[in-house]
Amino acid sequence: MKKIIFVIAIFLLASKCEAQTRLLGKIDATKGSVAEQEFKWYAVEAEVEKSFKKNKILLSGFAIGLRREATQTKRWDEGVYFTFRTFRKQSFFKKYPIEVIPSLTILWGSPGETLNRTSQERYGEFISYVNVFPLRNAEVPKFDIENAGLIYPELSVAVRKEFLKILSIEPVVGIRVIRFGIVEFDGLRAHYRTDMAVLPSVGLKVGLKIH
Amino acid sequence: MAKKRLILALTTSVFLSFTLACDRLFNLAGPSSITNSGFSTLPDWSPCVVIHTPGFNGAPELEKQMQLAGELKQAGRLTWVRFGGSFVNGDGLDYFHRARTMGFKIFGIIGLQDLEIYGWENAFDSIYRQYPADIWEIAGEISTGGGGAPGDNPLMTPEVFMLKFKRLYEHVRKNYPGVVLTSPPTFGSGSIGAVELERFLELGMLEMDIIIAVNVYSDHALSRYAAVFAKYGSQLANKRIWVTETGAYGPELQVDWVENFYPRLVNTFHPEMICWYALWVGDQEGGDNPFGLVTNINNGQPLVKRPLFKKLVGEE
Repeated sequence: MKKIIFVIAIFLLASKCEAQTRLLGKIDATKGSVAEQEFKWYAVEAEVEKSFKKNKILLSGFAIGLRREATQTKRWDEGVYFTFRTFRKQSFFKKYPIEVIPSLTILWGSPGETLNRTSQERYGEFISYVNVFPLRNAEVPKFDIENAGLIYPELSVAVRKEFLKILSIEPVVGIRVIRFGIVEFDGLRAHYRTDMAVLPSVGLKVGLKIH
Repeated sequence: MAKKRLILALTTSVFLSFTLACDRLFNLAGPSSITNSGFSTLPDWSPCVVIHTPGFNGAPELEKQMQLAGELKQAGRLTWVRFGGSFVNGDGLDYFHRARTMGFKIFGIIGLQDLEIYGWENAFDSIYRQYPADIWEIAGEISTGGGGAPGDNPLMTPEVFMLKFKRLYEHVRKNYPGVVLTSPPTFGSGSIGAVELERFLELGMLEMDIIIAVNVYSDHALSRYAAVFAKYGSQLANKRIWVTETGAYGPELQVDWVENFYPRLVNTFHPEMICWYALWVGDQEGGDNPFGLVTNINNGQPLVKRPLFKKLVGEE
């Protein structure tokens, strides 16, 4: 965790040079399967994005944000993540300019039980089932349970179109890479294994340039 | 200016449409794929209900409750009854015998109070000889006293509990090899239960051949349990899990609880059984009977079956 804060601090210092600031709102949907268990969920996200005036070697800027996946509940410990994103912008077409923005996002937070799935046909002893859950790998403050949080990366590409110099709209596609634990019970014995899942997501961002 | 407004309006409407579309398309709970042969529209219902055991044969509490249990059984909605308590002094014994004659599987509870007063092994021997049951729960919600009045259920730390529980476990394994024991169900609200469960696992419960029992009454508790179950996923893989109590406080919330919370319980615990708390929890005002499937058992008023009960037996 300290490493993450350190990296963010470095980027914040780096942004003291001339930069552009943008507020972004995002909605997205993620769908995929792990051990034949279907996952689909959506989220809302708010971000503050800083773009450097000139591209660095690999980066054009960074963004920090807050993501909610359990939008049906009022609770803040369920499907809630802090996000840190770095990106590289590339402009195309002078007459109708658009920017293509590949990004790497690190998400850190509490998955709650949004990513848990069990498939079993009925209740009872010796009933076969498949149980899938995210392998938690990070501390979450004030959670009482050690290592209850989840850190995972998302790779994405957005295409940004600006309007009226301050507004922007950008469709985003990406993949989330999450490690899962899988229990398969055949009625007599359980087998446990882990798997790295790549879950595709699509979303839409709207932005407002504030500086 | 007009163009600006148009773009703003377009952006807003795209945002809202997408949100609404997502709301309709996706169910965050991600229902498990439980199917059930019952004829009502509650496929996630699990055929287990907690029944409190006041009174004797002939008393309205016993007669009416067991009649209602029979209706649930007739509808294919009740296989297991988890009785509120079994005691060295024989209280509630008539319920056990009646349940046996009706063909129910029985989940019995031995309270911490009897264990502490008579000695753990003695209390078990005495109660096991008197009561017919298929599974024996040893105490419950030990950190909180079960929410009862002080002294009803003495508080105990997991450390002290596990010392005594391991001794009892060895006693039962040696003298009653076929008996199935459960862990004490952990508290169902807040973080207490999950912390306590983790402590039990650390103190050796994973090495014992018992059912792991949890009570779950809230989103908060469920998310904490999910963290513990993920952390011990590989070790819990071969364990039998029971959700020994869950339920909604309010008759109008009960059907929704089964439709939406039960799937989340299944997703997190892959439980062998989920027990609804409770068939009836007394008729007194301000008590816990908003959890009950029925009301007016012993107050002279006409019996009221609540919506979940009616749905389960196909009356609605």
